[in-house]
This record gives sequence, structure tokens and C-alpha cells, in this order.
Amino acid sequence: MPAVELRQEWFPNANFAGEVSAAKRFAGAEKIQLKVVPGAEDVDPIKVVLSKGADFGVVGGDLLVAAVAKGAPLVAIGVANVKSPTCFLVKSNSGIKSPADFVGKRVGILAGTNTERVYQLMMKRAGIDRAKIKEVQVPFELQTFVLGQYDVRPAFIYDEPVSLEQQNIAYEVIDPAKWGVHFTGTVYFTRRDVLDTKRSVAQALVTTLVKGWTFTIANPDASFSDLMAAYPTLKKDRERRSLQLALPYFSGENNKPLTASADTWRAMIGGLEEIGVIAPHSVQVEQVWEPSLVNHAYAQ
Amino acid sequence: MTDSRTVRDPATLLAGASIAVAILLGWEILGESSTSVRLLLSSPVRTVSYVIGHFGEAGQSFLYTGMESLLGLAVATAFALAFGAVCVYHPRIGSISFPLLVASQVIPLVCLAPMIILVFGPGPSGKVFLSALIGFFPILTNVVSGIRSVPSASQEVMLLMAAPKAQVIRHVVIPHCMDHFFAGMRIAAPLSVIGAIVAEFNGADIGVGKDIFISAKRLEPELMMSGIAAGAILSGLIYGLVLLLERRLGPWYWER
Amino acid sequence: MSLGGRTVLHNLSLTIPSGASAAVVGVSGVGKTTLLRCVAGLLTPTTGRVIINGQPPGALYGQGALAFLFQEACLWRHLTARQTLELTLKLYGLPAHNGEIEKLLSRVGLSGFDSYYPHRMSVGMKARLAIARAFCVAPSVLLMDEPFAALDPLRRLDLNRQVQTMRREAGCTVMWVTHDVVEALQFATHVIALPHGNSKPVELLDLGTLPAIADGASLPAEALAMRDRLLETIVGDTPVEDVSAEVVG
Repeated sequence: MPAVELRQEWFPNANFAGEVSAAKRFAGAEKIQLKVVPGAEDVDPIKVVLSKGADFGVVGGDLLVAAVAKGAPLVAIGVANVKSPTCFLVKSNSGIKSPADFVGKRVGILAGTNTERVYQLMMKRAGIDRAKIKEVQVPFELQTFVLGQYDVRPAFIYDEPVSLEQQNIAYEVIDPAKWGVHFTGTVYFTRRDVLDTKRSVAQALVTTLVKGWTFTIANPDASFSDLMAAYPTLKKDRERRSLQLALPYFSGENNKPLTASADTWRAMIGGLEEIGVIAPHSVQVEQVWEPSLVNHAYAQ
Repeated sequence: MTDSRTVRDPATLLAGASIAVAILLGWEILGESSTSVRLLLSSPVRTVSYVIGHFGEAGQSFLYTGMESLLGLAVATAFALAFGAVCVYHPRIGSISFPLLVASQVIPLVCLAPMIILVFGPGPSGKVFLSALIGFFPILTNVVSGIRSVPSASQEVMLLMAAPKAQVIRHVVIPHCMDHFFAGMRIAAPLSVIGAIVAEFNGADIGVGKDIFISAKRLEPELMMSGIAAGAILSGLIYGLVLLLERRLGPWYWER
Repeated sequence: MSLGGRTVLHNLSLTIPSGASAAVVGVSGVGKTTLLRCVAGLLTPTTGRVIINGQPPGALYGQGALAFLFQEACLWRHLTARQTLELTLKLYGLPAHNGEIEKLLSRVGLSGFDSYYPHRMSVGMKARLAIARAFCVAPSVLLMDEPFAALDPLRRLDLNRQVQTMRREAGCTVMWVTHDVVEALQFATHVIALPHGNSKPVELLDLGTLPAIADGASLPAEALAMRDRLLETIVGDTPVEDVSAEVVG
């Protein structure tokens, strides 16, 4: 059975649940050995896959589009989060309710992450002049926000809020979708040459992941047990709560995990063009999204 | 002191230049002939074009990180010299404190950096602190080593003259320690740049470290290569500054 | 005097007359340098005391009355010959009079080398500058711990002669260490012979009646007898090869 490595972009967390269950329960039936390789702060799955360190990776959809615009021969084969989990957190007593309230405040920027693009587009669509905002590059450590070094914290809805809850810190969430920002979250991707030469393996992976996430959404407790067995050092209570918040984001379009429509991609591509990340008309949906593998998985 | 004639020999310079040109040429050819190399490592021409096209931002990053590094090196030097003076005036305090300062180096810088940002916030002070933290130790150990190796007879000459301690420091300790001091400075110079860049990884509005960090998270090979080049040039410049300062000491030092 | 648990210098009571040139001879490790450092106040005797002109040595520091030539010249590496003597005068709180420094450099054979740094000087030149520094303020006592040991015999002879001439002119008392018994007989007015094993009391021998020893000449009979007596004192049961007794010239 071919060994398949899926290179994640972050440390092990609740969002690995579907992949872990896929590897444990469904990979064998699809005749692959699936191994989920965790990432870190400085790991870029795009570079890893481009340099053939792995054939498959997980990365923010906007980052993949930007890479394809530069000519990277990469393509998405499944969408993990059809709706981006990016949000912006403020402390409950801050009085900040919308992007307009960011004016004069210190807004944390997580440089290099997709939250940065979401922020830029949100501010543009909200009609706010960013020059009036004190933008501060911040580290991933949440404590800098807790200590009040800045007022607005970019976050994933199923990550930082859980940490704040555990520290009994009251917070409010600003959802960029309210200002017309519709990005995807993470996507599964590969190189074009892998689709040409190992299409059956790619198909097996996608089918495995579809089954894995379907199982996780239907059986979160069992999937959580799979996760804890794979990564016993994870903090149980924290990750259980994180998975609870995350599951709606992994449901896919029309409750079909890994699916996304061409319109979803076009919305994100258009947003990236709007903030100048990519040149207009430099990326077509077909260049960055290959839905046939997901479609085939559901057809089986 | 290194024989500068060896370094400045035309044949050596030519050989070095040839190797550098060969590397650049190889990189250019690979970068233009392979998509993955281009996307991962860019090419010299693309990198230079990028810098020219983004000269303002690149220049700002360079100057900002340079300022943090220089300030860090200055703070490191001041601290090392102050501690050296403590060793001269109060040897017992010096002996007690030295192991603690050694212990400060045991914690890896990348582990300390996030905590430093928590304490100092995202501004430049945390970067200067980290730059100084990584840079002070080689200067300090060399200064202490220099002080400990001052011949006792030289000090006894001053004792018989009842020379004030300040004169002993000025005319015996400092001239004797110059070799050691500059050996430490030559090591600390590039380290101060490393400290500033690593600190910028953990949150910076501007700087070479921030550029490299962003390019690590995104597919921006030109930004990455220009950041790496900026870091190298900065290290080289600060190292060169140390050599210049050394040169100013006079023939008694650089002719020995 | 005890050092490191070992008794060095025992049963020693000497009075060196003013203006003398007192050579300290003895085998290696007997305590010649220790004695000199005690006299300079750089070491404190376990028992007993040192008096120079009615004062302990420490009281003379900073007055220019006490000078020491170490085995290394201990020059200030960042100062030229001229600057070295200027700083010496400054540290003693004395002004540099017109031509005084040139005269002193000329006296020790360093005319024309006033702009030289120590790193450009030969060992002999450094020794000369050290002598000039010592005699900058006309010391009343000069202590020398084999400052010319690294030089060849001819240079050593020359510098010993230089020092003794300056001693006579300045009227200062010199106490100096040597391994060379014959050198002691040639340049000393008195000899302090440290016996091996501290077995005998320390003698201060007055060489006043000894005829002068010319360079290259054989030792006169009286000098030979004195040499043998000294060797017997300092060597005792020690094999002869531990003691230097050369004739130079």
C-alpha cells in the first residue's frame, strides 16, 4: 500500500480529528497508509510540497491562490474549511463592535497568515482608512493580547476563544463575513504532476478524507478518542471544546465535507484581487481548484 | 593578528570573487530553468529587481534592523566593559556574578524571544535587549579573560608608583585587554544581528526578521532571499565597523 | 618566610649599607626572588620586617624612592619611549623639564628611538627603557630580579655596567638577583648568599677589598677564593650543576 504523507501547517490540534480518523479507520480500505505530519510556526506546506518533501499538504486557501498566481504548479483537491474560521477578538469591555471602532486602536497583525488578508479585505469593504489604525505585528502567543499590548486579536473561532474561555476572559467576536469577506479556510492541495502521475493515490486520499470528516461530524466523541490516542499530550478539555466549535466549519457546502463551489473560489480570488495580493485575472478557478476527486468520492 | 597580506593578496581575492560569481551564476541558471527553484529560491536577477522595486520598504527594514543590532551591540559592549571594571575594582563580586552570567546563556535564544516580547512589548526595545543578550557574552568572557591575564608584574610597577586605579585601568588593563576585547567584538558583531532578527520573528512592525518570517509563511522567494542578503550585508557591515575601530587604535596595536 | 606551606628564607637578618650594590645569589628555588619581593613590600614576611630608610617599603610607594626591574620589562605597550617617561614623571607628580627626557634616553643608549613603541624594540632596548623609567626620578633603592636574563652575555654585561654607573651617579642602593656568582663578584659591592636548604644563617659578604675583575680576564686569586666560598655556602650538598659560575668576556 502506498504511504501517503499529509503535511499540516500547524501543531497537532482538534482540527486534525477528521484526518486522524481517516487514517485510522478508512485509509486501509482505500489501500493507502495515511500519515498526518504536524507543522509548526515556521512550516510552510506550500514550500514543502513544491520541493517534493511531501506530495500533499494543508494550507490556507488564500495562500494557495497567491502561490498559483506566482506560477506554482499546485492545485486544491479538497476544501477543509469552506468558510474561513478567521475572526477578530476584542475584550468585552473594550467597546469595539465593528471595524469602524478599530480607528485609533491597536490591531494585532499575524504576519504571513491568512488572517492578515481577511483583515485587509474586511477593512476595505468596511470603508475604513487603515492609516488611522495602529497596526502592530504580534507573535502567536495569546498572552500579548491578554496583557493588553493591543486591542484587536486575529484568531480562528475554534482556537483562541477556547483559550480565553479557559482563562475566564470575556471577549466579543467580530465576524468578517458580516462585511462581505468570504474566504475559505484551509484546503488540501497537491502538485499538478502528482495528479498526472499518481491520480489514483490522490483519489484514495480524498476519498479517505471525505469519509474521515463525515465520520467525525457524525461521531465527534469517537473521533475525539482517535485524536487523543494519536496525540496523547493534547489537553483534553481544551481540544474537546475546540472540536465542538470547529465542526460546523468542516461540514463543507451542502453538508458535504471537502466540497466547495466554483463561486466560493471566485469570491476569494476576487477579494485577493481587490486588496492587490494578486493581479486582476491572474488566476482562474480551474487553475487552483480541482473538484473532480471530491465529486468522484461522493459518487462512489 | 591575522596577516592582512594573505587576505589582500590579488590571487586570493580573485579566487574568492570567482567562487562568488560561479555561485551566483549557478543560482541564476537554476532559478530561471526550474519552476520549483524559482519559486523556492528565486534568482539573483529577480531578487535584485525586487529590491529595486521595493527599495523604500527594503531600505527601511535594513535600517531598522541595523539600528536595533548596533544599539544591541553598544549595550552589550557597555555592559561587558562595566562588568570588566567590576572585576578590577571588586574581584569578589566579579567572581560571584560570573557564573550567573554564564547561566544566562544556557537558555536558547529562540525560547527566550517570546517571553522578551511579552515583557517589552512589540517595539524595538525588546529587539535591542535580545541583540544585547546574545552579543554581550563573547565580549564579556574575552574581557574577563584579558583582565585575568594582565601580568601581575605590570600591576606591581603601577603599585610601586602608587598609581590611582583609574590610571592602572587606562595604562595597563585596557591596552593589555584590547586583543581580547576585539576578539569578543568580532564574534559579537554578527551575533547582534542574529539577536535582532530572531526577536523580530516574534513580532515586529518592520525589519529584516519580519520580512524573513513573512516569506517563510508565504511563497515570496524574492522577499526571503533579499531578507537573507540584507541580514548577511548587515552582519558584514557591523563586523567591518569593528575592524575599523580596531584599526584606529594605532600602530602599537595593529603592527604587533 | 613561608610560602605554600614551605619555609623559604629562614633566619635572615641583614643590613645593607646605603649606596651598596648587593647581589643575591643562590640555587634555583632558594628564595632569591622572594627576598627581593619582601624587600619591595610586594610580599609580607610571615615573621620579621623590612625597613628602608627608616620606613616600611609601602610608605615609599609613589615617592619615586623605590624602583623595581622585573624579569619582563613591563612597559606600557601603547606608549612610545618618550611617552613612557612622560607618564612616569606624571604619575610621580613631577613636571618634565626641557630636554630631561632626551637626556635620559641618551643615557641608556636610546637616542633617536623616542618615537618607538615597545613592539618595535628588541629585548635589549626594552630593558634599557625599563632602566630609564626606573631612574626617571632618581630612586634611593633599586631592586632588580634578573631583568637581563633573556639577553646574550655581552648585552647583559653592558646593561649591568650601565646600571652600576647610574647607581653610582645617583647614589642609590641596588639589590639584585643573579644566578651567576662571577657576575656578582664583578658588579656587586656586597653579596647575599642564600644557603641551600636554609641550613645555615644568611651571610652578607662585603666585597670591598676584592680587586676589580676585568672583562675576559681570568679571576684573580682572591676572587677565586671568594667564588669558592660562595659556592660552598649556596650549594652545600647540592650537585654543582645547579649553580652557574661562568666567566664572561
